[in-house]
Amino acid sequence: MVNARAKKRSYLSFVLPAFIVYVSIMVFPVAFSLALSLTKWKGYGPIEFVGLQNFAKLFSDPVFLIGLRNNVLIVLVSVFGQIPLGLLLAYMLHRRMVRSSKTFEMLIFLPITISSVIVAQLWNRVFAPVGILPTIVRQLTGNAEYVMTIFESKAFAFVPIMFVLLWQHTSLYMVIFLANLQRVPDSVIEAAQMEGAGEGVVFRRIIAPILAPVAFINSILAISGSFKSFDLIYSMTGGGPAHYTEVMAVYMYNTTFVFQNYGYGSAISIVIILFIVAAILLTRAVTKKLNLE
Amino acid sequence: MRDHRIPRAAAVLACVLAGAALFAAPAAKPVTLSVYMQNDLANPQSAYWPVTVEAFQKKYPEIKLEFEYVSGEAYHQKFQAMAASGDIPDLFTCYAGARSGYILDRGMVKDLRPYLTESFKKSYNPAIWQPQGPKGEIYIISPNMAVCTVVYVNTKLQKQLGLSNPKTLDELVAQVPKIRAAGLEPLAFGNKAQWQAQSLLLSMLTDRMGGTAWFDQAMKGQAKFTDKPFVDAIAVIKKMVDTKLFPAGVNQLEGPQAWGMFVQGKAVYLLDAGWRVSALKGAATPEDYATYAAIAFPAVAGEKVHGSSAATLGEALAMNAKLKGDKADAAWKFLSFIYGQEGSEILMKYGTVPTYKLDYAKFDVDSLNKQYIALINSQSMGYVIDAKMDSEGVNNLLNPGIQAVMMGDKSPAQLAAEYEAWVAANDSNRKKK
Repeated sequence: MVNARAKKRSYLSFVLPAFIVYVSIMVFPVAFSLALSLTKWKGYGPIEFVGLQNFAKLFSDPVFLIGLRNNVLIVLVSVFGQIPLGLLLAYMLHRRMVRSSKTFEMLIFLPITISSVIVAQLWNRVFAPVGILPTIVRQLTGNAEYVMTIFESKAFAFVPIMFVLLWQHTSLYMVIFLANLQRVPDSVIEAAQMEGAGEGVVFRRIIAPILAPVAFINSILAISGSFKSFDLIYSMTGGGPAHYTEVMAVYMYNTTFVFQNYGYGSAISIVIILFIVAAILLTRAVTKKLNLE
Repeated sequence: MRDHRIPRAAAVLACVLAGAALFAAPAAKPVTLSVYMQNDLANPQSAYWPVTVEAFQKKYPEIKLEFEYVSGEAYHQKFQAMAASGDIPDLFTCYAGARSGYILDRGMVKDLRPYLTESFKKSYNPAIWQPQGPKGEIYIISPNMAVCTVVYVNTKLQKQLGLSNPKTLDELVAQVPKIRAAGLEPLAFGNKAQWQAQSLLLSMLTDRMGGTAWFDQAMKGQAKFTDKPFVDAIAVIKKMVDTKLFPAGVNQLEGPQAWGMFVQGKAVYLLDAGWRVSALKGAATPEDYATYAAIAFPAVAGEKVHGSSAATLGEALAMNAKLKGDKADAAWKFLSFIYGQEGSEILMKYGTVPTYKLDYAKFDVDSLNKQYIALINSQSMGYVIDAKMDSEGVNNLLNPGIQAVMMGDKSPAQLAAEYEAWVAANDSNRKKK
């Protein structure tokens, strides 16, 4: 009896601190945000309960819908751009398909080590009307008024940002793949090659099955990161022009902290969480179905 | 034998000193004030501030100031959290409008009217004593008027091209082919940050088309933003884009890139605010700077108010409503010093025209500043929209909407209708009874 109680006490003494920390920094903010999302509140003064009104308004809000579209585009460029490209680069470097692979490894890894704010400023200086790229094009074409009009296109203004995201984040996935590739014993590949297996077979039969769970983890990282995208876009365009490069997190930030619309801003943050959870569950289901885990 | 003369002399001296101390004026009691200020000391435009504080400390050494500087949006975010906890500093940066609603609406800012004697008020531009609260409260002594529309001219380029100051917008548009043929930009202007087209252009155009009386009515709902003055004002901006007055990609161009273009001699005119004078002075060579001129935005077809600009009160430090006794006295000494004659003279020396009336002849005012002072003294001032209307409607709808109009994705009437719908449903001005 005493033993059981002591066991319970020691169990609680181990679990409770972590549980309290988890509840206070994870559960409480989400629950508080959820409660706020059902209200209209300026951050001070009376709180008005509005039920699900904020959520209903969200899906007819053109700015939120542009943000949602752009977040989906980031997911696509992450999952179908950054991860496959990261895998390709890692494989090429691991298999020494290029000379000075260590130098390439370092060069490719560099962008992820730079702060997103600096990356944004850097690319702004490339793309701006007085930036490097338009200046070169003006020199080459003789068109003195050339600017990158893609930034003013409702449909395509987000494309240059997707390119920068691809440039910046591919290296992270490359390093993760590379670290896992280094776990594959060379002898296994050599044995396969002695049996007559070509590069394609080695990749398909040996490398791909080993890297499948890594790709799954990378996908989760990519999806959750994509829905939370904030710093690069906030620094690069601030969501402009005319909201064309808006993403949900930037819109949530402006709504909540700049316009002091805490209820609506909280509703956006809850929707972001729901999207992340749904996308991760979907990824899990797909990978389970394909037996990749 | 011991000599008693020295102790006796010491005792006499001590008595004399004690007596002197009793009858002397009591030393001022030290007071410490906490100051939370929106300021970026790394910005060259803030160079006047450390000099002002040093001058104050020299005059009032008994008042100790503990500063916390935060710039940009972060200032408001942190201050909102402070306001929510009910614990705000003794002095803090405050705006005379909706931007500081989170402290003004809570009654956390001291009404300065008990301190403002008629003789004190006479020393300032009367425009700053317009009521700042619902009962006529005055919360800040604004040190400068933020004049939002000034056209700067590079007279050297203008002469080289054989051009003269345009009297009307059509005359300015007519200069475009000649300027572009010379490989120059007609009117440097950057609107990447979105607020510029509204604060620096639409506000002035709205005043030209409708005047402040119409705007007052629109705020109350007695007129609508779908009315002709507002729609026409937006249409003028679209016309300016279509006639290639602005640089290509104006909505991708940042403010400093635009005025940098002007300083580099790549644009004949610059559309910017009055506060750009000191930046131009710092960036241009003295020879180039001497060729700059400041003129009013040219007349627009259909305008009702002629030659006006738009202006709002610049932000200033305000007092915590809870301050009493010595602390309140010390805070008032600080405010009346920095915004009074001493502080204003320092501000003037650093290139900003203060609201405090100074004898400009005492200062070595350069030619651009002289022209600027003469210009704003000759102009009537309309409202700056974002100083009057709620931030969400302006920043989330109107500013991006102007960009959409400029890029041809929205019509002026469509934007006006969208903005009116938002204002009618949400803006606090329409909810006031």
